[in-house]
Amino acid sequence: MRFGIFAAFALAGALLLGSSRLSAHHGTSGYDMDKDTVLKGTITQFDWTNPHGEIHFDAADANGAVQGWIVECGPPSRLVETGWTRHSLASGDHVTLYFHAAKNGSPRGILVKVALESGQVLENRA
Amino acid sequence: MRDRCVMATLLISLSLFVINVATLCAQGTAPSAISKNQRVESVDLSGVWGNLGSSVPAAGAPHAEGPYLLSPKGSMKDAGTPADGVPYRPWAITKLNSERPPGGPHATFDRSTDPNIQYCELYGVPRIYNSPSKYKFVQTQEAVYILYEYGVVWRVVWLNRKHSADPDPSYMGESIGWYEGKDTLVVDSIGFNDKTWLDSIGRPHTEKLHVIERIRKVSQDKLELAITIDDLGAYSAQWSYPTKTVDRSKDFAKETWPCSVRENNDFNDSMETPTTAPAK
Repeated sequence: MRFGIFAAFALAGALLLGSSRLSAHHGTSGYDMDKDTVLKGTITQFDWTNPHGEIHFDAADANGAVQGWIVECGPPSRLVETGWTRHSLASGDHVTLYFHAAKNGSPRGILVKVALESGQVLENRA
Repeated sequence: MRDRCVMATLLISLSLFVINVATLCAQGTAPSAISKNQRVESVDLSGVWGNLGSSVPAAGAPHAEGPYLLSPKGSMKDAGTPADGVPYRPWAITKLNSERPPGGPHATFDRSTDPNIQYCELYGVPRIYNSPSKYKFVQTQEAVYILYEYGVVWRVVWLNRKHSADPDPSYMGESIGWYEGKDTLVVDSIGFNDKTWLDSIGRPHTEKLHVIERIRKVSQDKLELAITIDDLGAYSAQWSYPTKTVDRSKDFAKETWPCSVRENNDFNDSMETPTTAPAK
């Protein structure tokens, strides 16, 4: 009985949490929001654009094979609130990216935060 | 004789006052035109306002609710169901359930039917307040201008004026306003087309839409935004969104947020299509 009540609360919490994950432009159902992916990569392109910024980078997988990724971040008007500028990332920068990857296994994701070589950490704002 | 003249003058003045009050009452809640020399009591809404979205949480981390217009009852998961407290007409809930919205319990990742995402059509009212962006009030004697970062769009709220008899339907409608007390601006809007959604959940409306916004300054750094929907074409009774608290912000228009079909299509190609393709 106690487990049943606990399970009900857990389910309600999960529903509430899941449903509140919103974006101004689209939902996040394409990403695995319950799993964090962390990759060290090299920036190949940074698109400071609407409706969402895009960070293009190369990262090596466990076997050393290099793959091109794209993770989305917020639009410029939101990112400036947490200290971003259009020059925050540039091609060739070595960074560590924390993100939620696409559920379907494609090299896409939504950014949580990015750690720069300088030590500065920029959080996403969607 | 002099006393009679004074008495007659007083009676005439009293009669005129009564006639004026009766006229005011007959016009409904909106005050009648205010003469140029009359001092208008207003609330100072200067500054920048808005709720600016939230960070994307790591797995398992708590996530704050966005600045979204929700439902009179229940939580976000109830939006668009009988539990949400909205008195939908049958066609309205059928249409709502047919949409692929960007928000709410059935938020879709791609191929949204949102007219703003598909065509960059204006958000309209009250959806413009759904955006995690800023806005600014510019107050003059004749009007309050509301400037919105999202969509780079603005509205005119005419003071001291009645609604047009038959306004042309438009995305943002025709707005008149007045001040109540020392802390509230009331905005009354009609004349909408039926192309917009009320919110990012996808609630529809008709051209009968009448929106009442009550913008109350509760402190130097907080506004309360209370929005009532009156559209008997889509809903069987008036209903209201829960009152939103809006924070004071800064740096208005440092980055505006235009909508571009080209940019939306580019994002679809680079992110949405690969992310929703069948897993290999």
